Amino acid sequence: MCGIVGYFERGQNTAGPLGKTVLKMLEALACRGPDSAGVALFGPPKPGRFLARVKAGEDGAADCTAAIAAAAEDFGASDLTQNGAFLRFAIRDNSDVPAFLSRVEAVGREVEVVSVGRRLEIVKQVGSPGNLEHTFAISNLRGSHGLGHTRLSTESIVDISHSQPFWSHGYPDLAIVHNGHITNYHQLRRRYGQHGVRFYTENDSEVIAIYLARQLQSGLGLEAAMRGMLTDLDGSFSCLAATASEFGFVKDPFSLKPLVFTETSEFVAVATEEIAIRLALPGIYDVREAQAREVRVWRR
Amino acid sequence: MATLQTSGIFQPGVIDAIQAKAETGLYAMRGFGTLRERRWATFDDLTFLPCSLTRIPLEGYREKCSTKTVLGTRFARKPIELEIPVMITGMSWGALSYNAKVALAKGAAAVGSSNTTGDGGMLAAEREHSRTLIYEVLPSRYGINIHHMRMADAIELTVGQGAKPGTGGLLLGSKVSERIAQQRDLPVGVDQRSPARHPDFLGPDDMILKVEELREATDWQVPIFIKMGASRVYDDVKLAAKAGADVIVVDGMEGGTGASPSIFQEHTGIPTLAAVCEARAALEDSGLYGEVQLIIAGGLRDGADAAKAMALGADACYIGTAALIALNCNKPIYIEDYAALGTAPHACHHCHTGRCPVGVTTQDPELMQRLNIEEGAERVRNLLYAMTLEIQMIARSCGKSDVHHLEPEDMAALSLEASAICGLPLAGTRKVFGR
Repeated sequence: MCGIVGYFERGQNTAGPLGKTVLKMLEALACRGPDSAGVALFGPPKPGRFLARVKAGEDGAADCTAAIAAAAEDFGASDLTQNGAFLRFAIRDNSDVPAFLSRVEAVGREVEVVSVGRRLEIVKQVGSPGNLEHTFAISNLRGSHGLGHTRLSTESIVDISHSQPFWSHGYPDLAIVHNGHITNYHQLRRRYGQHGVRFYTENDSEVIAIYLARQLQSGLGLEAAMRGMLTDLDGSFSCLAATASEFGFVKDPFSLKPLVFTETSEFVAVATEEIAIRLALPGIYDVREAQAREVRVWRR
Repeated sequence: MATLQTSGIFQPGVIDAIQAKAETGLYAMRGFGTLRERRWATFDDLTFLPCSLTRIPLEGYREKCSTKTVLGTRFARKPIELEIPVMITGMSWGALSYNAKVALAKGAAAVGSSNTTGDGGMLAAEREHSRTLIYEVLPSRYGINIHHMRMADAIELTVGQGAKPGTGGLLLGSKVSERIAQQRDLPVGVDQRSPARHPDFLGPDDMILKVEELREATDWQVPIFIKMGASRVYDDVKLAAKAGADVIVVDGMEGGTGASPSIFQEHTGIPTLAAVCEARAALEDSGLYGEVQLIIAGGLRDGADAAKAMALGADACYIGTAALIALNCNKPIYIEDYAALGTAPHACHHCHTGRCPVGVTTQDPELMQRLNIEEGAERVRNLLYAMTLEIQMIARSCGKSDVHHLEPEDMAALSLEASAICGLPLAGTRKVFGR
């Protein structure tokens, strides 16, 4: 239904050719998800600022750019650039993120803050990974670890917002990609909804980002949070998640979706199909299949 | 010969009922529950949408689908844990025979489920054979006993009953045997009418104190259920939640009864399907969906009804009439005794007479013997077990590893009414009617 990839470089380097690697992996899985493509990349940390990616409109007809820039001024917005449907700018890193979201998203119905983080940047677009590269030149982006997704939509519409990776809106530096379907999504959505949690889409995968953010907020580490998915989330899921310092995967209890990974002294790579790893990363290594209920998390 | 044409309004049954009232000056009384042809939206107006391409179904035997059901997680120190989500509702010893009560207790225990006392207090044998026993506290206070209450696994404070909300229980004199009279502290052979409202509280404000009193009496250990007939369900559920209920039981108009005026069974309360939708909305709007558990009762017949009720928001279901049918109610045996009551198998609703041909709703020692406790228990066990398998099959086909993960969105509506009531698209459209 979808293709997911993840790459995690070991060691201290935070400025490797991450965009190039993730793009190559993603291109190998383009046929699994013709509807849209996206990446979540963790770049070199720059202290003192959050980086925000804002979708100005689904069509890229961003006539509200000026209004967004004005709304972001209170948060110390700087270095604003525009590319496709997205605005990219820095804000102060002590910003009240939920306040930033409500301020910026009040500008227009289609305005959505797609990611905020010290390291995280999400770009996604309708169409193929090649299209994504064409618009955003993601192969130029550098970093230490990242996720990618190609989407074949099942029960929800095709647009930028419904594409993956998902950021958990309001929680900096957390992104997920998911292949499968969460069958208790509506129930979870109802439970979160009554506590005022806003869902931006009708895509079941979004609930994973919300779930993990709440688990992390409650003080759990990523590994424990992802293990919690095995009991709290139902259905099929091969899922990757990453924060500024952690990267991991979880596979559902019945192993309903494919996922393979490799772990070398230099890197960890995870993907729906082995070909994504082999094509992007030359070398001699074993690739093995993730098992049902398997959770693995790597830290840097 | 020309075809005789009867009136669509004054149908034969209507004519008979009018003439019976004209003869006696009395309203009609009977047991069982509503007999109207179901023209309102019911669970039959919904259909499940199993996995196809967008989702992946689970295998029946290899892939576990949990049925474990936990109730009372809000305040109780010891929530009850059941193996299955289908429970036996409260039916009084008095309305039911001793054998029936014990058979229900044993049958429920055999599958790890619960049973409930009823408007007549706790039987020693009932406690002994129950795995999880819910103690009902009713307006009548018949047989109420603080020591029994403390032996219970949960307390159910009953405000009303689905078959007849707004009125009290009835036990006609023919069923008030010496044993029943002694348990209830009343004279033998006299009709008993329970109060319509609880003498211990005068509305939801006082009920808060009553709930607190029950908590104190049971040392904050066991869950407190509040049970209501389905009437103004949305507001009632909000109030019960505010009053501190751990679990709310909503009993729809299709619920059964041992004896009630026919008019109540046919013309009061709202259907179970509508009740569950209102109840879930009330809990969601109170921010308590998932924290206060919801039990749905009222005419549930099989695993499909139960699965639909759960998908719409119930954590568990009560069965009553279906369990009695498992005990042989309306079975074509002892046909001459059905005839003596002026009825026949499949058409019997004569629980109120105390002459139940199969020994379920009687206090007559000879009739009661017709219900063998062990055999009855086995049939109740089998029914609960088979219903649970049905719920699991549906859940697995919808890709759920836990029956409690069924959701409204797993279904489509088959009628405009069900679409509007449940907020689900009408099958064949993407439209929710009334929205």
